Amino acid sequence: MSGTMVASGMRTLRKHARIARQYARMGVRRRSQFRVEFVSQVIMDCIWYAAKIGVFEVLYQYTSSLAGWRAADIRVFLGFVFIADAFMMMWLGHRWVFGRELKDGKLDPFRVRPANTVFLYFFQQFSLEAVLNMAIGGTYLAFALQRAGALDDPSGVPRVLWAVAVAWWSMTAMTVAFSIIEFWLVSSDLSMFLTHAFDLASTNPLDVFTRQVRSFLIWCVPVGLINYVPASIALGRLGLATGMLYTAWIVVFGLLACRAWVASFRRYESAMS
Amino acid sequence: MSVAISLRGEDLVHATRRHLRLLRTAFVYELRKVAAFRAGFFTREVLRGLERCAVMIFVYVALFHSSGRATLRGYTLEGMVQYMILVAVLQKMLFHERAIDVADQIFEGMITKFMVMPVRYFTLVLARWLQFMALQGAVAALVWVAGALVAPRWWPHPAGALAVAQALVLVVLGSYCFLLIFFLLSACAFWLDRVWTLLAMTRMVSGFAMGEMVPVTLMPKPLVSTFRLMFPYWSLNGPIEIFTGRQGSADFAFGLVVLIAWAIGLQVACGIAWRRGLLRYGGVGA
Repeated sequence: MSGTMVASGMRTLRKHARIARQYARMGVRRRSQFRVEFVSQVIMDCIWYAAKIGVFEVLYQYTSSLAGWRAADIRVFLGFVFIADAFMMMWLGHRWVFGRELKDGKLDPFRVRPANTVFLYFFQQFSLEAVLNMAIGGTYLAFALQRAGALDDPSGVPRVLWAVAVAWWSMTAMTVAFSIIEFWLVSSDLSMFLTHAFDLASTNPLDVFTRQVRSFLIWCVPVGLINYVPASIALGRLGLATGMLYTAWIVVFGLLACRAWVASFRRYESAMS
Repeated sequence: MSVAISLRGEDLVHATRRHLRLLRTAFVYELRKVAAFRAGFFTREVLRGLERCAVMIFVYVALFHSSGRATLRGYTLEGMVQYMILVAVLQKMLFHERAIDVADQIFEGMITKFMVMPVRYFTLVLARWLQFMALQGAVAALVWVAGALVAPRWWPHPAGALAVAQALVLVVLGSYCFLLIFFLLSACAFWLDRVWTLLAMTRMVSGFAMGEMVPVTLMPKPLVSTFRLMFPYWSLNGPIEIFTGRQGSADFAFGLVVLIAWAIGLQVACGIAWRRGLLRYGGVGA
């Protein structure tokens, strides 16, 4: 019985990997038609990185620590912000048009396609330029980890890999979760607003907030697991048990968000505006 | 000869009246459009910008607490909170790239119909800006009054009536500069097809230069000197410091000159880009 389930799971996984490969192929082909756009998007993300780094570098002119985070720690935190963002840009870029497509009734094909609807919709727009941004963000993260001494002990690399996996999964989970609102409040822009507002909160170390806000951003709207928790895991600021607890929570949250999205998708009626 | 001049004069008056009528009609139309979806209207027009203010206040409270300093280049914690509140209020009036869809219209080939109409396309864009300013001006005023009633201790109060007037003049002119720069970049769609990254880049760079998260005053001196020559600084950071009395009338005069120079330069650039772009335009869409 369990053998059959494993075989079935592997088949599903292989099928989705094949779909992802096709999406990536189409993304590369599409980008080859807009070469200026490719360069522009890489530069745009670099400017965004520079602005983020600039804000914190200016603030650290006036202090050696911000809510317990040294400048070296903040650079690691920013490294996670960059790789989580690059992952979003690489695979989840379609989230920006979800509200509009829902309103315009463009989701019909996803009703009948024989694979996971959430995966098919959100992963459909692969971005080649984000691969380059991922390389830039990853390099910055490696530099920051090295400077912070997070790779000095043998557990450093596995801890970082674990943290990266948490960051990417959390980004996917939150993208799916925020988009659910659009099913219930069509053309409200509320999912975009909430995504932006919580993104802004999550791109600061949560220790700057009060304990209640911090708990809210981890347990209720877990955007803290996109950057804050992964950076804390990589820096060894969190114990193994706490890190595992947070990881388990975001895995469960992500699965629940996917189920809720699929359930909400049943409300979709082609012309929702 | 005098009859010809008189006729040309009448034509000019007639054309101006027609443009003003179009401006009024398009203004009302734009207003109806933004208010069509009530939840979206509230999210887009009322809540926009407040989240940054809230998050940054937490960051500055932590910064002052961690550093043990009483001031940062003249800013106390209270002053910094007031700065962020004013960022949230005044930035509402600064035109942003999501409010303009010229690039999409070029990309989708929808400009054709305007080429055969006896109107200037820019009049329609101008109407949208007027709608934006009217609506956001009202929302900003409401937010400011509500905040002043709810939290008078923390709420920023103006240095005087003159300071308010000077700050508003700079914000309105700054907003117009943003309209022009976004129009200019959108017109690049005649050559580049997709320009959203250019628009986003401009927003990011201008956000940093206008001090939307960190007052420019806290930045290194060379950056401060550079940003003071750019219009984003005089669209937000400059007006805020004039409003709160950190900068005076001499700074206002300097800012006004900078903004007018930018507005003239951008207006000319927009005209050239639009005319040259139309020569390339095929009207076939994406």
